[in-house]
Amino acid sequence: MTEEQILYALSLVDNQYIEESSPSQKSKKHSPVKRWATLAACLCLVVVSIFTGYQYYYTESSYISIDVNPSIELCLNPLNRVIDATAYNEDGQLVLDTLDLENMKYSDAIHSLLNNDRFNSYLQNDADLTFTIVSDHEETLSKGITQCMQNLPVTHSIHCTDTDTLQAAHSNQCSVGKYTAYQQLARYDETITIEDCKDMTMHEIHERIKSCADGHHSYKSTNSNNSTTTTPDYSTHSSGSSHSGHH
Amino acid sequence: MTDEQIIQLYKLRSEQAIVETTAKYGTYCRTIAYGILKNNEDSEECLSDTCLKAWESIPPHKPNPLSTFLGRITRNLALNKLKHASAQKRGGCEYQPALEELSDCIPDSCSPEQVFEAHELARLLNAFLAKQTPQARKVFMQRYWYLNSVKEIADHFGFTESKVKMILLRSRNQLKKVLEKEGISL
Repeated sequence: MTEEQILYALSLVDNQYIEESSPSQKSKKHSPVKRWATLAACLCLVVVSIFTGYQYYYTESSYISIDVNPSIELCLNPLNRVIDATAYNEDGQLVLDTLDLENMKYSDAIHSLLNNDRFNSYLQNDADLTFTIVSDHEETLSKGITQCMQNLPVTHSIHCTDTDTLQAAHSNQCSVGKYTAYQQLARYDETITIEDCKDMTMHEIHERIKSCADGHHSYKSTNSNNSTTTTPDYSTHSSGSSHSGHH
Repeated sequence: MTDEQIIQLYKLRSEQAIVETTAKYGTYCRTIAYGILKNNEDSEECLSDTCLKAWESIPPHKPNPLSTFLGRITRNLALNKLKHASAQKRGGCEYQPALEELSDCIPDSCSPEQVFEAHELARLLNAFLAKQTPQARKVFMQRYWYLNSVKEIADHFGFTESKVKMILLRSRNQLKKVLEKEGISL
């Protein structure tokens, strides 16, 4: 048998094979335009995905205000990662100058703050460390903060408030934590201004609230370290925990 | 005009049959001839010869469909012309390469003296083609029936040349297996 025999025998194959493979039959090959269009569509999809992902990542979802004397506010995205850290006073700025908290998980950011020497220097001598949360999942954040504070010899309290208070605080160039404390104090002392409070430590504000409310209001014991200290019970009190504030 | 009407003209020995055949299948036959010969003049000659052969064959033949009947005649005429040209070492750029490729399909046990009936071979080829994927079958047929170059096939299907070569290699290996299997029993 020779190659030519095969070549000539091919002439006798079924008509269907000859017809279907005729070069005049249009193949299903993609035209260059179609190919480029597909490529462009894929590229657009990638760009849109990146853009959407970027937008999602940088969507402001929650705020945690951390106030001692340094007033620092962490802005979190829906993934509870820090997308912005703002200092609302000089002490806060000094702390943030030594730390880069962006893109950290909020719990890691709080750990970093608590391990920071400069921040730690403000936690001596009856300092009140106050966390104020503005979020639609405040319980999760509150639990996370409580875990961060476990076994630490630091008096702290966790409060929750709403976005109206947050906006009011920001319009007064103040952290939401300090602004919430100011609101509480203002209920007893009409002469107090937000500017006065900006210059006061959280411990000082709490002491003023305590003295103003002395004999009339209760104080809530809050200390995760089981050492009893007192902090004012901000407005509507949430039972049995260190949380307070309006939800 | 339908195939039946053209065949009727052949039966009536009307020269209009040639005119109608050329009008309907001239391009098709020319494409086949040019694919093999790569020469316009030879392709035209092939087309004329195809019409002549059809004139001689119908009747008694009653081809259905007329297209593949004419295509086969054109191909065989073009192959013969190419074979002749190849012997004289002119033109026919795809004839020798195609033959060399097909030599891969010849089972080692086959001696050159072994002659198989063309129809028996065609039966094996049909069985082999039936088992191929439509894509592999079309590529195989374009290469060895229409004797198109690898580049032409690649352009036609939008493949790379290496993909076409790979498809052809797989097909030839499978054909070799079919022929080996059947060759023993023949």
